[in-house]
Order: sequence, then structure tokens, then C-alpha cells
Amino acid sequence: MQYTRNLLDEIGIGAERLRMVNLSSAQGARFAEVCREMTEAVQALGPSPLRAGPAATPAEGDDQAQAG
Amino acid sequence: MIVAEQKPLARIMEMTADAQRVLVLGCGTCVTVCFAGGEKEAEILASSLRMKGKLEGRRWEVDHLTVQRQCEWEYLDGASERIRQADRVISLACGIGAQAIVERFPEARMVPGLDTRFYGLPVKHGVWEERCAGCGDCVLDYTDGICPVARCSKSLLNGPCGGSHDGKCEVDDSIECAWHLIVERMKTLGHLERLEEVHAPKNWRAARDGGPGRIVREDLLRDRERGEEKGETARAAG
Repeated sequence: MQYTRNLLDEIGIGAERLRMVNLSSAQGARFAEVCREMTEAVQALGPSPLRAGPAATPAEGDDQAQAG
Repeated sequence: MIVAEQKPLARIMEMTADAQRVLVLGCGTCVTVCFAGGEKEAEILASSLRMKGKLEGRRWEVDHLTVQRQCEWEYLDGASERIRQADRVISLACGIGAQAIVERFPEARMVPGLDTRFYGLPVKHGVWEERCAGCGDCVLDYTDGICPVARCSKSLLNGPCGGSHDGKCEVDDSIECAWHLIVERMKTLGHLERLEEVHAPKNWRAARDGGPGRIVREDLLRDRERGEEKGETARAAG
């Protein structure tokens, strides 16, 4: 996890877009809370720079979406 | 095994700044088991380069492939077509495999994706330590299996220096004093007096000091090549 977060920083996407949370299937309320928090955090960060990046051909764009 | 580390992503980007078709070539032996340049690492690097390249506005294709070994022609040949198609090959092998690429495919432009560090072993998962210096004149029988060339910061051969303290090297507390280890082991095995044995000076010509190495095994040469090797040996001697 930490490795991937560091990688995202190195690439320039940002480690804050990736988070790991431990939950049990009985923690429905906590799950909803975590989803809300993460959604708010990601929305505050804006679209992934890969989407907003320099113009690419549609084919390249799809490839990046799959890779990212 | 050979232990290496991947170069920083930014450095690899620098080395491929003008490339348009990049091949990340992984290696399935040493660098796989030290998690530096195997199939997984090759795939992750290719993906990282594509993403970072997109953010920086690069127009390129980055692909990846892994061969069992890069340091033997037969294995490398399996990647010949992909190597030829690329205008830059990022080798994730050790320095040997990286060089093998340009030796086998002279038209290939290769850049090293790794820094080859040392011959070592994993003392625990995720931690590798140097154990062998490849000095070519092994003295492990004199030192009960602990190498003073690789593990002593000064490669001393006669015992610890004055800087050895609490079993640690004066250069760095995290380095164990090799001679401390050797002496303790000799004591445990009950033959500390072996430390007083006198041996002939070490032949350092078998190591880096002797220049690029070459070994010819006559018994392994194919008949056709035997004559060629003899010719070469005669010319070198004459």
C-alpha cells in the first residue's frame, strides 16, 4: 500500500488519492462514513491529472484509464 | 545473488526523454528475487512511465517484456523482435544483462533501469546484505566461512583494526565487524589459534585489480571453437 502511495507521488498523481481502511462486514455505518469521507477528499482534489492532462488520442486515453 | 535497486523514476524519465517507442525489459533471475527488475517490476515501471509521461505531455509508447535471463544470448534472442522495434530499451537486468543487450543487438539503444549494488543475500525479507566481493581468491577456509574482503569495511586480512568496538565497525554502527565475527566463530569452534596461521599473500590480480576477467573452460568448448580459443590464447601469450 505504502509502496503504491509512494509510486503515485513519484508519478505525480498524488498519494492522497489512495487510502486503505480496515472494516468488517458488520460495520455498515462505518463503511458509509468512510465512503463519504473519501468521496469528499477526492472531489476536493479534483479530477485525476491523467484525465485533465495534455490532449491524447481516444485510444491512448482508454489505455490510460485501464492502466490507472 | 546479484542485488540491485531500481533507479528513481525521474532519472529513468531523463534517460528516455527523446524516445518514442520504449521497451522495459525485465529479467527473471537475480533481479526478480530482489524485487528490482522482474516481471512485476517491469510492468509497474512501464505503467508508471506511461502515466508520468502523459502528465508531462510526452508522446510515446511504453511496453514491457520479461525474459528468463538477459545475460545469456539464447534467452535474450527470444526478445529480439521487440528489442529491434523499440528505439530505447530500459534494461531492468543487472549491469551484465544490460550490456548483453547492446552486445547482441548493436543497433539497440539501451539505458540501465537499475543500479547493480553487490553480491549478497536476504538476511530477512526485504533486507539484503553484501557477502561476497568476487575477489577471485577465496579465503573462506581460513576464516571459517566469514568473508573479510566483503564484510570488513577495509577488507583487512589479518584481524580487526583498532576501530572495532562492541562487535561493530567504526565506519558505521550498523555494520558488524567481520573480524569480530570471525574471531568469535573461531572461539566457538575451539580453534582460535588458527588466527596465527601464516598464509601466502592474497592474489589480488584475480579481482578488479587485475582488470576485466575472462575464463576459458577448454573442456566445455565445442570442437569447432577449440581451435579458435587456442589461437587466441597463443596470440595473447605471444
